[in-house]
Amino acid sequence: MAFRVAADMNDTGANVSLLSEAESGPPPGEGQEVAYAAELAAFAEALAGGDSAELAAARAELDAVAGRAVTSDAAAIAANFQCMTRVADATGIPLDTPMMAASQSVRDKLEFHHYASARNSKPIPKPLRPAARLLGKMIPAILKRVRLKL
Amino acid sequence: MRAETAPSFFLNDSPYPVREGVLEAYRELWQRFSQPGDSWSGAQRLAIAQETRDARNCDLCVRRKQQLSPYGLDESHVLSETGELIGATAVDSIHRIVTDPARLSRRMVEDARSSGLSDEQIVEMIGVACVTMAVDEHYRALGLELEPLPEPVPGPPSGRRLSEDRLEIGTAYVPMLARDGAVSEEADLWSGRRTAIHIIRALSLIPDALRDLTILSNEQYLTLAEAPAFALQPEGRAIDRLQMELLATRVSQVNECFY
Repeated sequence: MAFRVAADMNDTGANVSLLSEAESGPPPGEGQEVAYAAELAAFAEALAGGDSAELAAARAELDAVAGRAVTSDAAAIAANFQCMTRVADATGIPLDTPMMAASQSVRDKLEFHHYASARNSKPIPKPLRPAARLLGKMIPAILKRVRLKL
Repeated sequence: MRAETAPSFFLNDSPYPVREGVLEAYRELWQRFSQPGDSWSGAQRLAIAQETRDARNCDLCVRRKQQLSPYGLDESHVLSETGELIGATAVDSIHRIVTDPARLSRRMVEDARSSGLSDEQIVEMIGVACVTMAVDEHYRALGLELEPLPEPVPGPPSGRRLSEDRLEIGTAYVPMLARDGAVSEEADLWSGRRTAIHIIRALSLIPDALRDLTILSNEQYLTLAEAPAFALQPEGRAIDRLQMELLATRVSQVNECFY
């Protein structure tokens, strides 16, 4: 959901299809609303996948197209989510209700409900799903207020 | 592997420019991990950190991951000297967290409780393991050698516990501080906000574990104030917010994290 909201808030054409491409991310030249999308996705996947050779190759590719400063910051973000995903799943926290409602369409599209950790979160009851979809569409507008407050 | 002197995190020879704020946070975390916590001693906290590293090269974890069920193999980890400091169940839990995150379940926490670990010990263990992993993963992502762990500061754990009436029980596998519970000595925990989402509260049974996570995330990712401001382009970064969320989402997908 965060990716989709960020895309909407930054007035780009990027959408969740960038997240549902094949294992190595969107092909080079596509998904260019996000700079270096394919290389960043491959780098993140290689880190989380745990294969050292794949990680070295993905790092070299990202270095080559984006430079080492990008690789360095990308590494920090990916490392942080290696941690956060484990905190969430080791403690068994459910998805917060507003986020559950707002991310319904994205989760359906990406089929997150197949994940074992989905059992920690109660699905939105069917009668409330239209309202949840509406909330999902309103989220970017709501979060623009956050921008104004900062 | 332990440092004989204070940990450095200076990266003088690194080909990658790592922001000084990130390195300062890592130094602070290493110093905090070396101290006695609320439910583990400094030596035990560093044993947790060491097991986090050792899990990456664990043969049993590799074989277990190939099984249809995460509990399909009736084998136990052979405990190292550091593993002996925290016990077999803690070692097993840490290895599962590191190597098989997509199949973590309530059973891991229930097994830990059954073995005699308190909820406080479980949460502190998860916190130290996950934050250590984040520091190490940053280095591994850049192809750098891991920083040595510090020497432990002697002394027993504080034994400090939050009173039960301040806790929310049953929402997660472990108790959490109630939504409106960031008051008094814990007033800083929600970064000045009245309430917090579950990922912020997940480790709040041990307030210092949440503080560790905040120190880490403020530098590796964003502060609690910045995180919901999706249009904000964080200063001093080489990547923009959309790139950050793409990376975050891809890692979460590989780890099959619903949250």
